[in-house]
Formats: sequence, structure tokens, C-alpha cells
Amino acid sequence: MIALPLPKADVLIRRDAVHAGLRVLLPEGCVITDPTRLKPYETDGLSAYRQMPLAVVLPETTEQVAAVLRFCHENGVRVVPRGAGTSLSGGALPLADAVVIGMMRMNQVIEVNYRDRYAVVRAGVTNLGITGAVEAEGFFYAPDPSSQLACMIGGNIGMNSGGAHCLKYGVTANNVLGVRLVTIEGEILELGGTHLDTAGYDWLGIVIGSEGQLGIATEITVRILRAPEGTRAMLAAFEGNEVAGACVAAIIGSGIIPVALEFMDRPAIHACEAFAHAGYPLDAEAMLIIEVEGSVAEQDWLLGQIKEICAGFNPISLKVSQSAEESAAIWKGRKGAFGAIGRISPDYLCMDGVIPTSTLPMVLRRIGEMSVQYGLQVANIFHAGDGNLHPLIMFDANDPASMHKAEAFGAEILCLCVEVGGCLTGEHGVGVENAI
Amino acid sequence: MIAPDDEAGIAAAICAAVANREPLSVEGLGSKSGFLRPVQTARTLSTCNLTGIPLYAPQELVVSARAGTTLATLEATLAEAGQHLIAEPPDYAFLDAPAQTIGGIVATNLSGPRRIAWGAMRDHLLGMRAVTGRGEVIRSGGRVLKNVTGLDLCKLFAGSYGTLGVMTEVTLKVLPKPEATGTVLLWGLHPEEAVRAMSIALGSPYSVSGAAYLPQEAAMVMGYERPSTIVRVEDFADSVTYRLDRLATLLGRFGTVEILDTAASLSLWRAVRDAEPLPIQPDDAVWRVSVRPSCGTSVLRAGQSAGLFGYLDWGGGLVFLNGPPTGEAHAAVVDAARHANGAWWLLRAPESLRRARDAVPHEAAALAAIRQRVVAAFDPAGILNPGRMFAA
Amino acid sequence: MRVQFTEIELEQQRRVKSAFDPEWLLNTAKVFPLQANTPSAGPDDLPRAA
Ligand SMILES: Cc1cc2nc3c(=O)[nH]c(=O)nc-3n(C[C@H](O)[C@H](O)[C@H](O)COP(=O)(O)OP(=O)(O)OC[C@H]3O[C@@H](n4cnc5c(N)ncnc54)[C@H](O)[C@@H]3O)c2cc1C
Repeated sequence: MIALPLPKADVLIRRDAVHAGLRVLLPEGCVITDPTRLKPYETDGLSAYRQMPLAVVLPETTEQVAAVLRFCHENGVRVVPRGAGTSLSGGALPLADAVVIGMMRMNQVIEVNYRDRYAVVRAGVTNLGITGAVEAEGFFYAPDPSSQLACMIGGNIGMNSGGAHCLKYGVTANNVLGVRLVTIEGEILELGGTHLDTAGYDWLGIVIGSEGQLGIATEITVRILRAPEGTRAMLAAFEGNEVAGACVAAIIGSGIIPVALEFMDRPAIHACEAFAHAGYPLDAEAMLIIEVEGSVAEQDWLLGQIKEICAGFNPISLKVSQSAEESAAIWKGRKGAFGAIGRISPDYLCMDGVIPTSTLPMVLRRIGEMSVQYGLQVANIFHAGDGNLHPLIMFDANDPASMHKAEAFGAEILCLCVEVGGCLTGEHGVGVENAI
Repeated sequence: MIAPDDEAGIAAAICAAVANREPLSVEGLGSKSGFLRPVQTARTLSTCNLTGIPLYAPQELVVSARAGTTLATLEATLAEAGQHLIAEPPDYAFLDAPAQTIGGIVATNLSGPRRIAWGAMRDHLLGMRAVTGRGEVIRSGGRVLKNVTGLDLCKLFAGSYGTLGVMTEVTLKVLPKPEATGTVLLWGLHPEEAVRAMSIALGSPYSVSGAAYLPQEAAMVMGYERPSTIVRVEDFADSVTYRLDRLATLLGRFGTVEILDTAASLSLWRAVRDAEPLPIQPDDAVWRVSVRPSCGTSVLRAGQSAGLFGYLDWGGGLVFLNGPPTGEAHAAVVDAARHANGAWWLLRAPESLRRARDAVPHEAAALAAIRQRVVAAFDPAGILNPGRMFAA
Repeated sequence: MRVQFTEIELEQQRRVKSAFDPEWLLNTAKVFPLQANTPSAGPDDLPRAA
């Protein structure tokens, strides 16, 4: 179970004074205190937990963020930074005595510089919005979490988010050059800039992934990259998790670094295929999505090499995408995985452990045993290139016993991840869920 | 000099130093002890006896090395499995010792030409073990490529010049060595033209992994007669051939294009990595400046006007400068870097200059206050490398 | 967090948090175990404001 601190009684008593104080600082319509309008903010992607906040503010400028933080600091009021609220670990979950600072109105792209390959955006710009602003010139912003349509760059900074392509391009921390950070005291700090290496201490490094613990990011300078000439995906289906895991190791050992290398087990394949009709192999125990990039000739050559490696692991089928539409369908299945599981089971816990790739078969076997033991279904999705494992545990939220079991199951998986040399969270953050 | 051969020994040395209020200089093999500001302590704590590679899993792209392992040893181990350190850490021609430790490379966050495409040392530091200035052993990160569990202390330690703690073991992401390397070379461009050409190359879809410009003097050190603009690609052989061809076409409007093969490319880029194109005299100062690429030329020109020599890496975004260690030269570099909103380091200079001047940009007051609290959180007694990065 | 970190390691992370947010007002109750979700580093632990 998660635990939240007792609200500060002295703050709750001053509720009206806090509301009035915030109204002075912000333009009309930027302070929300009415319970019906607060409702949408009571939870985030970890929707099993809900809590109405003291107030929600929607600042429009860095200066307004600074004014709100200074006010909260002077009055001993807690704050919860919030982007799109897609955190899967409860990172943006409100507290009863806290002001939620929602960044969605700071959604402007300020500057794009193709010559020096960076873009300056406000924290409320969505992840996909950055790529949207530069793709006409053939550029993109690399980290691509599956939630990229909704999640915001400020939230990505909070969680150091990654995506399917981080094997080659890295996570948020590897793609951010500068952050304008407002401290709890209302000071505005310029961390990094538009250059690659910063001198002195690596403040960007400690702030990115700090889950809103150190300050609020209002403006972010990201690297933008020129998109490759083309990309192509292939599907490789196997009879078991072991051989699929061994095949991943063999591909990486061969010196080929695909841009993406994703693993799904049987329950995940079935759920996603029902949702995306991507032609996933329903007879397989395990499937790999492998993507390469470059010119058509380069893609052909790389896929040829990879096919040859896969052939050594007795595959059930190997299918190379023949068109952009087919590749898109393949990814639609993978990126829609959480939604697809949601269609099977309205309630599920999405875990986010990281394990050394070589331990995958063993970890999946243990998770399978736990699944039997707890009597709960689980589907596994794995960013095989970097060891990030997402077991999706299905349960029934209307049954407290089922929910309890799901949480115990999840905790046992995370202990297993640490035990085999991995860690608690790869990209979703610690939040409230893993703080214990 | 205290040089324990295990982590417990490092911790004991630090605890003793705290108890006696006796600050320590922290080093690996001392190759970079002339970088940034001078540290004056009676004793030195070295990691040079913490050697060995406890973990290397080529198929997981990860290696752990004790901090005192030399760069050469680590690279040789990786090479056996056909892999390398991604950030291409430099082995500067002006170092004070013949060998470097991996701990020292991480602690100074020094990266080579490939940084522009594949990230810095700090980007590949997956995990570490360290002894803080409290004498306590901490771990951060791990051996897996992705990890956001808690605050990322690894990044804070990378580039901290031994002022927060002594790293005893580092875990790094590694990658396969490319099969082939090739270079497109353009002769005789002005700095501004060169940066434009590099910008076009880096903005192309051909995965450029190095882009540097050697002005006349630097080119001559390398045995070339004219300023040289060089652009590198690394990959499988067929890809390299294909992309060099495309880049040659793309850059054709800047003049005649020459192509260098793998062998010639490897030695040229090693020289660029190691600051060999600088005509360094024994007493010279060396500055390193990081700016956005299109500002590299203004920093280079400002340095040249102050009597310095230099060249550009990272498509213009990294400027190396060397010359007489005068206060005027230093001020010229600092002003130019500040004007470009960039970062700078005084990498090497006589003690007089290093003592008298800042060695990195000073921060705004609010950030400086946080910095002092963060440093004190790790090293409350100010025992480790006091004054190395910022004057006390 | 306790599965992955020792008490010393958690305490070190908390001190960094305290350096930025001494009163622990920012996103309280996230990341760190609740029992320890307070500014544990006492005033004597921090340098006096310069
Ligand atoms: C369907 C689905 C798929 C997902 N897929 C992925 C994936 O592939 N990879 C991945 O990494 N994550 C994934 N996530 C998790 C989530 O989308 C990411 O963590 C995302 O970065 C959160 O962004 P957000 O804008 O929603 O932030 P929020 O959830 O609002 O906040 C996230 C954290 O950041 C803090 N924060 C928000 N804004 C700021 C700011 N401006 N300054 C400082 N702190 C701030 C918050 O306090 C909170 O702790 C997925 C989530 C869902 C629901």
C-alpha cells in the first residue's frame, strides 16, 4: 500500500486565505478551487489512487510560477507539479493540503534553431508537439514514450522518460541541453543552455528524473536530430521466452544496434493484436519487434543480417514490413499495449522494473510462477535493448482482495528485479508507488 | 600519498582526514592535476591501486571497472570483444602523466569528437560506487541502461572533479566498434564557411559522428597546408561508403572534396580527440570552451585576436585554445564564451593564473547558494579537493 | 526504495533534496519512504547561508 503524509492542519484551516492569495498572483481563470472543476486533477496515470487538492493553479509564465512558489514557500504550503498527469507511479497525485501547479497553459514553442539543432519550448508542450514543430524540416525529438501524444516535456523531465527508441537515442537526460528551473523560493535558475557540455556541477543531470522534488521546469531546451532516411520494422516469432531472449543477446553481440528492440510475451501479443490488427503471430510464445534505419539498401542489409541471426533460434516466423503502413501497424500494436490490456481487464498495474537482459528468461519464468500463485493474469512487455520490463498485472479494482494481491504481486516482481541486479524503475519514476 | 587497494581503505582514509580536519587532494594517476584550480593539501588520496574489471557483459553492452583501472587497460579489454567506450574519451597531448584512470575520466567528464552524435561520458555512466566526504559508501544507478530510481547522483559525480566523493567503481554503457570509419575533407574554408558546412553535414540523415575544423596553424601541425574541415562517419563498411558519397555530394559546393579511408581517418580523429593540433609550448595555458556550434567561430576569432591558437570540434560547438598564460588572454576567452552563453574550463595553466582566476564560470547567486549546500551535503567538512572547482 | 538503497544512500539523496527544498514542500510524499519524508538533515547539517 502507498502511504501519504497527514495533511498540515494549519494549512487546511487557511484554505480560503490561500485561495485569495493565489488569486492575487494569477490572472482570472488560472486558479481553480471549485470541487467540480478540481475533480479532473484528483488522480494521474496511477488511477487507483485519488485525492482532491487544496487548489489547482494554471500559470501562463515563468514569473507566475515563481510568484506562486514564493507564496507557497512563505506560507508553508506544499506544491505538486503536474504536466499531463500520465505518470504511472502517482508522481502527480495531489495531496489534500497541496496546490497543484498545472503546466498545460505553458504550451508554446519559443524557438527552433536548425543550424544549431535545438528547440526551446515551454514545459507544457507535449512530447509529440516538439517533433510536430520540427518534422517539416526533417527533424525530430528523440525520446518517444508511448504516452507521447499527451505527456508533456516538463513531465518527461520529471520522470526522465524514455521510449522504444532509446536504445540508440537515449532517454530525456541525454537529449536536454538546458532547463529554466524555478526553485521553491521563487528563484529562477538557468541550468545548461544551448551548448553540449556544461561547466561546474551537472545540475541538469540531477534535476532530470527528480520527479518534481527540486523545482519546477518552465522552459526546456532540447536537442533536435535529423531523421534518418527511412526506418523499417520486422517481427520475429519464437516458441519460447528463452530462445527469444537468447536471440536478443545474439543480435547485440553481433555488433548491430537496432534503433528499437521490443519483446512481448503471449498474453501481450494476443491483447495487442486484438486491438491493432497488426498481423502479430498468435501461435508464438514470444515475439520481437526489431527496427532498423538508414537508406533502403542499408535497411535491407541490416535486416538480412538480423534475419540470419534469428534463423539460428528456430523461429516460428520472420516477417519484414513491406510498407510504411505495415510498420505503423506494428508500432500501433506496441504503443497501444497498455490500452489493449485495458480492454481485457479494466484495471491493471503497470510495473516498470529493469533487469539485465541475460536474466529475462529466468525473470519471466518466475513471474509466470507468481501469476499462478496469486491467481492473477500478467502480460509482459520488455524493451529488450535496454532491459526495461513492464509486467502488466490484471486485477479487479472492485474487489479489495484482488487489488491487494495485485500490489503484493507487483512488489514481489520489483524485489526480483533488484535481486537479479536491476532496479525499481526504468522510466516511470518512483512516485508514490515505489517509495516504500 | 595514500593509495589504498580497496574501497574500505578509501573510506578509512577519508574518515581519518575528517577526524583530523586535514583536507585531501584526490586523484587517480594525477594526469589532470593541473586542470582547474590548484588544491593545496598536505596529503593526496589516490585511487590508482583500485584496479580490475569486476563485470563485463558484452551482450548487455555494459562494463564495470574499479576507478583506478587505466583507460588503456579498459579499452584493451573492450577491444577483445570488439567494443569501445562510446564517448571516445581523450588522451590529451598535454597531460601531466602518461596514463589516465577511468575514474579520473568520469570525474572530469571529458569526451571526444563522438560526443556530438553519441553523448558524453556522463551520458554513459550507468552506475557507480563512491565514498563521500563523510566517509560513507554510496551506490547510485546500476548496471542496466535505464534507471530513474531516486535522484541520479551519478550525473552529479560525473564532472565533479573529486569534490563530492571519491568514486571507487564506475559502470559504463559500451557499444560495438564500428566496422569502418571514413572522412570527408574540405580544404581552405574560412571558419564561418566551415561551420556552415559542418552544420549541413550534421543536419543530414547520414549519421555524422564527428565534425571538426582546423584553421591554418592547427592544420600545419597536422601536416596539412591549408585549413581543413573534416566530417566523419562510422558504421558497417557498405554504409560508410554510401554515406561518404552522399556527404561528398552535399558538401560539394564548398569546394573540392577529398575522402579519407579507415586507417587515415582513425589517426586523424585520434589527433583531433587528443588536442594534438594545438601548437602547445611548455608553459602555455589551454582552454576548452563549449558553445552552440554557430558561436564557435566568434570564440575562435576572439582567441586569435588575443594571440592564441585554436581549433573547433563538435561542429563548432567545442573550441580548444592555447597560448601564453596571461590574464588578458584568459579574459578574452572568458568574455567570448560568456558572450556566447557558453561554458569554459581553464584546463591547464601555471599555478599563478589558476590561483588568481576562475577556472570555470561562476554561477548566479541563487544557484551558487544551492551549490554550496549540495557540496556540503556530500562533504560537510570540506575535506575533498577544496577549492578545485570554485574558490572557497 | 528500501529494497534498492541502504539507509545511508537514502539519507544522502535526502540531503540533496534538502539543499534545494529545505522545508520539503515540493512534491512531498513522492520518491522517498514516508517515514523519512521529512527534512531529516537538521540545520547543523547544512552550511549557514553565505
Ligand atoms: C499509456 C501510457 C504509456 C506510457 N508509456 C511510457 C513510456 O513508454 N515511457 C515512459 O518513460 N513513460 C511512459 N509513461 C509514463 C508517463 O507518460 C511519463 O512518465 C511522462 O513523462 C509523464 O508526463 P506528464 O506530462 O504526464 O507528467 P505528470 O504525470 O503530470 O508528472 C510526472 C512527474 O513530473 C513532475 N512534473 C511534471 N511537470 C513538471 C515540471 N514542469 N517541472 C518539474 N516537475 C514536473 C510531476 O510532479 C510528477 O512527479 C506512460 C504512461 C501512460 C499512461
